[in-house]
Amino acid sequence: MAVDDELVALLGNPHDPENPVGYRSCLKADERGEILREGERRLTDFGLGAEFVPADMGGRLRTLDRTVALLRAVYARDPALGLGFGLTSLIAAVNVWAAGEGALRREAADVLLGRGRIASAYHEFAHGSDIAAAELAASPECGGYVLTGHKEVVTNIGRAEAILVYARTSPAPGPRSHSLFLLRSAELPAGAVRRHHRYPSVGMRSVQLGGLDFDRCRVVADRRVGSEGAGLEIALRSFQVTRTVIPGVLTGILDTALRMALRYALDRRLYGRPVIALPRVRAVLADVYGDLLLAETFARVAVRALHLLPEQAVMHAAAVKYLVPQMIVAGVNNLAGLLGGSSYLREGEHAYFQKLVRDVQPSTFGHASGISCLMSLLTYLPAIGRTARQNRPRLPTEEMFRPTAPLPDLAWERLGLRGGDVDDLFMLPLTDVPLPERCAEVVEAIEAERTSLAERYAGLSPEDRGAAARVSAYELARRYTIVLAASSCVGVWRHRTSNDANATATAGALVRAAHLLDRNREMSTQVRENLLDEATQRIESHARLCDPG
Amino acid sequence: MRFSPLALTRSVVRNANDEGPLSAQAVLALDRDEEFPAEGCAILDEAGLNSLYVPPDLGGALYSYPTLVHALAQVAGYDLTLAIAHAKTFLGAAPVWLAGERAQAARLARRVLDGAVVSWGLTERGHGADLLAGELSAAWTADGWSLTGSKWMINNARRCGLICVLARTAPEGGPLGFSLLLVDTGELPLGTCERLPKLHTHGVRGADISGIAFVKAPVPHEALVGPAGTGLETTLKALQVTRTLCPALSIGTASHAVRLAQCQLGVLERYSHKAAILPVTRRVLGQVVATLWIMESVAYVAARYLHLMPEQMSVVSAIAKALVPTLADEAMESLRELMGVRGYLETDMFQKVERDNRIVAIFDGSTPVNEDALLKQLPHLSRTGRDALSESAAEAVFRLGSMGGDLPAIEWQELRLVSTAGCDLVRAVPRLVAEIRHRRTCMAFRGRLDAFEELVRRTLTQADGYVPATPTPAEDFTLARRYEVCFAGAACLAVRLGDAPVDDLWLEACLARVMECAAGSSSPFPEPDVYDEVSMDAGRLFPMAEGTSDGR
Ligand SMILES: Cc1cc2nc3c(=O)[nH]c(=O)nc-3n(C[C@@H](O)[C@H](O)[C@H](O)COP(=O)(O)OP(=O)(O)OC[C@H]3O[C@@H](n4cnc5c(N)ncnc54)[C@H](O)[C@@H]3O)c2cc1C
Ligand SMILES: Cc1cc2nc3c(=O)[nH]c(=O)nc-3n(C[C@H](O)[C@H](O)[C@H](O)COP(=O)(O)OP(=O)(O)OC[C@H]3O[C@@H](n4cnc5c(N)ncnc54)[C@H](O)[C@@H]3O)c2cc1C
Repeated sequence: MAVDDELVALLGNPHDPENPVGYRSCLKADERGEILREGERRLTDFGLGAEFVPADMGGRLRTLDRTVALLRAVYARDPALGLGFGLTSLIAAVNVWAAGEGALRREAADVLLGRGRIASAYHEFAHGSDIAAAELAASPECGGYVLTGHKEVVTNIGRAEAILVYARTSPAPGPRSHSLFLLRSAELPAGAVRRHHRYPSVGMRSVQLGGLDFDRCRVVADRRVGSEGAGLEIALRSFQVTRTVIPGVLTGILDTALRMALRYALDRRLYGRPVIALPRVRAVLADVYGDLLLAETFARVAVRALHLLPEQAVMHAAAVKYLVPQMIVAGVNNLAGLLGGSSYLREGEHAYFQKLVRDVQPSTFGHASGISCLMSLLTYLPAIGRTARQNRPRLPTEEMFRPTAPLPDLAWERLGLRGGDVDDLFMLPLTDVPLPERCAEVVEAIEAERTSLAERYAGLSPEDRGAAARVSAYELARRYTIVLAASSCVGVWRHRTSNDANATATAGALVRAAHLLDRNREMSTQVRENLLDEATQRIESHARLCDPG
Repeated sequence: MRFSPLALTRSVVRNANDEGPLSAQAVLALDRDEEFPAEGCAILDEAGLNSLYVPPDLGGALYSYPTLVHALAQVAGYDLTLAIAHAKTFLGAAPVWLAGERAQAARLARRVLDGAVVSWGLTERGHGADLLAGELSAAWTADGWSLTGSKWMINNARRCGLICVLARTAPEGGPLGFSLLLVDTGELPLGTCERLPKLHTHGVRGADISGIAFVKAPVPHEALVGPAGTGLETTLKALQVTRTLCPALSIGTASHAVRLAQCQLGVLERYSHKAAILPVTRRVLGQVVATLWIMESVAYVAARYLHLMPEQMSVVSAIAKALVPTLADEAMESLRELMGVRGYLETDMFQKVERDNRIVAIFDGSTPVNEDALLKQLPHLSRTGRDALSESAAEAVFRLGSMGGDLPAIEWQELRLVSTAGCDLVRAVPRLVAEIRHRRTCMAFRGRLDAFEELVRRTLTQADGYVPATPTPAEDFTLARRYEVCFAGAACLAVRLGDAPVDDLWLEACLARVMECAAGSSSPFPEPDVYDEVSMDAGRLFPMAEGTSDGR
């Protein structure tokens, strides 16, 4: 039994036009920019909110692999439902859990257990990912705070029971100038808060994006999450969790897109044969399947590493949040090209596809843009390079790679900000294990790349940090993320039990990783055909494209 | 008849001001409401754009294809929906200019000059690019032809007064089994023709993408365009002309998006700097500008090619249609990330431009279809590739890149299904490179020039032994792409050697981008630092109308 079986069953048959949570209904909600009410109702019945609350607070959150599997299933049905109902509350709540002790923990838990929502209000147009510059002010006054400023394009801010607000508590520059507040919407003083009109978006259209103006809005000190000035630190620690979780969730979008494209290619006929007979079409499908497997594996290993190597999570989170969304957006675009005119119609058999094309887009720039993830990696690369150069590779515990192995609870307090000077995933031995057919050469190339990267990281100059770093340094950081993805695949292969890694999938994923490093490295015909056989077989037998964790 | 590009520009700029019908606000509202841009079409009619759709010997103003490309790029730079809604008439009429009888063409010319809307119906539900699978049939009768069947996913099918349809005229079909018919929908008896509902589309939402169904619709014998059985051939030749126009659409959307991004990132602050000068953002912006320049060069040179060497258009048009929209797609992906959340809001023009842009690589022959066509001709290209270029051919190549000089009239009859002459522009690369070297003594980019020359040499060698197979193996498309890139680099060289407003920095950026494209899909963190210097630059060969400096 897979973790998400119950939830998937609750969402019903996606192709059933009568299903109020089927593709057709989701599309209708999208067209109208309305919330998919029945979808939300079913997720509420399932108790999705409880999945975001730690078990010791009465919820069902123990390990995040489960959370990912559940949200992924929702994203595979309708990304807007997943963001608007689930993911947003998780993003907000994680801040409260990461802050540690305090009465607000109980309150946040109660909101979610009571079927409510929490909005996460970080974003200001003027500052985007640069949250250290956020302006909304919470000025200490009379033992409490007075909030003045605004937040923009925040999911559910107009309808959530509680709102987590990231605000400046000191005008000084630096990392100790912001604090977090958990506000109750019902208790906001009427005159001091003004709601923005809704921000209509081109995709994720059923998500309610709003904003708030605060005008001398009084807040008691008890509403502060964590200590004063700890806002940025809490944010950076909770991002380690959310940025690790989100990529795995997003793979649900590519999964659905690929299923639809395979179905299209099998059914549509051109030149007297099914479109899937065209070699170029086969190549696109196989490449994207390889990408999906690579993304999926990396995302899964990153989540497991969050539990097993929390001190290293700061690197893994940034890496996986950079690479996986890039691959997913590119994959959906490639498949759109394959569907041709059918990807351009908002009606008819393939109408859902163009919705995915729109919904997938914030994957790369939402909740930490790709560039900001790589920027944070730059801080750690020199030390990692030095260590990697000196030390022998070491083998992390096999639980990292075994999808079904039990995981320890998340050690929030061990999520460091310094990062280590070690990344076990980066240093994983790659070539000392028999690899699937046709992989050895590819993996050798990846290993050579890693060796050369380690040298270059060690040689990075101190200027190559922050936004002003050279472009070439960003490219080095990008390659880091690819090595981690490839290492994840090798790790899973090494520790495979009978059916949680198959040779075809591993080969496909690794070839695609090598392709990301060197665009001239194309998939061999044999690997391509194996992947396609695998994919078509799974489509025809209604099996999952990726084996569940 | 004369067409005044200046008058068009003025009119477009005037109407894009404030809340005019071409303003961002108005254009976004039409898109949101899926309303046809009728006012915009009237403005273009008024400016005489339709005169560019008609050859001069028939009373029109199509003296210069680059002028048409430029005019359409300008319109597309405001609203792609409007551009395709209006220019479709040229596509519908092109087969008649190409193969129609003189009287038929003259009649159609008058109609087009009077503002008639002409559609082109090739696609049928379920058949896509497979034209030979078309089912709409035309049966010969004593009074003419009897049409039965439908065309679907057709631009302006609900609005057109005339539609040029590809019909099966021999039940067994095959390459000689189809004919083109120019149907005057106003003359059909009631009940023989039904307009199919407007389709709701992802982009160009206001356009009339619909269909038309005929049931024993009687059309006169004179409706036939060219002899019976030549429908496929005429279509393929007309596509060579229309595919050379499509780049205008991509240039419009790409330059529009570049303007929007430059405008936003020039004011947005991140990490205490303007976003536009942060190293990565600046480099990527510059890369996109260089991409736009390559797109322009290919489009420009291809448009002049049609006048100068029409017999090679089977190759040139396939390259232009495959490469330019693909480059635009890539550029749009880069820009989307730079635009972030703002570009995702419905109130922002960017998201419309991004959605609209996607159609160009899909219609009028998708990228793979064109690359397939190119690959089929590759043996000719390599066979002739090594022969020395005749003096007259070399002269024609050098003329490809210049801005002025009267162009010979378009010789529609000279279009060929396959270019046995190969592609003179690519053959001329050694000459072009030598000329550049000769003219400029101390160039910063000598290395890039060498690399490009080497790329062309290697590509031609690779093409040498090429034997097309059916269906085309996937790997072969890489070779097609490489050949396209060679063409693009050659086009840039030709333009630089001409009198266009470009300089060495321009050429250096173009060559850097060409080499990046040759190495496979582009890196998100490009190496060439020459991009940094051009990041706030704009198009050169098809400059957009003034008055767009607010990025709209
Ligand atoms: C559907 C949706 C839902 C959302 N929900 C919420 C929500 O619930 N709560 C919330 O707080 N926010 C929300 N947001 C907004 C938030 O996720 C922003 O999109 C995010 O903060 C990124 O901001 P930005 O788009 O301004 O991009 P930034 O990352 O700030 O980038 C802006 C520009 O600066 C450039 N730049 C940035 N860093 C660098 C660098 N290092 N080097 C060079 N250039 C750089 C970028 O390239 C880009 O061009 C949502 C957005 C969407 C689309
Ligand atoms: C907005 C819009 C306007 C349009 N306007 C018109 C119009 O005015 N008149 C008109 O006739 N049509 C029009 N079309 C139809 C358009 O030209 C079709 O998209 C086109 O016919 C291709 O069909 P298809 O997209 O369904 O893809 P298909 O042709 O069915 O192709 C399916 C897939 O196979 C691939 N493929 C096809 N052939 C090959 C090959 N030889 N080698 C490798 N791969 C291949 C394609 O790239 C694609 O990935 C319009 C479409 C749209 C969306």
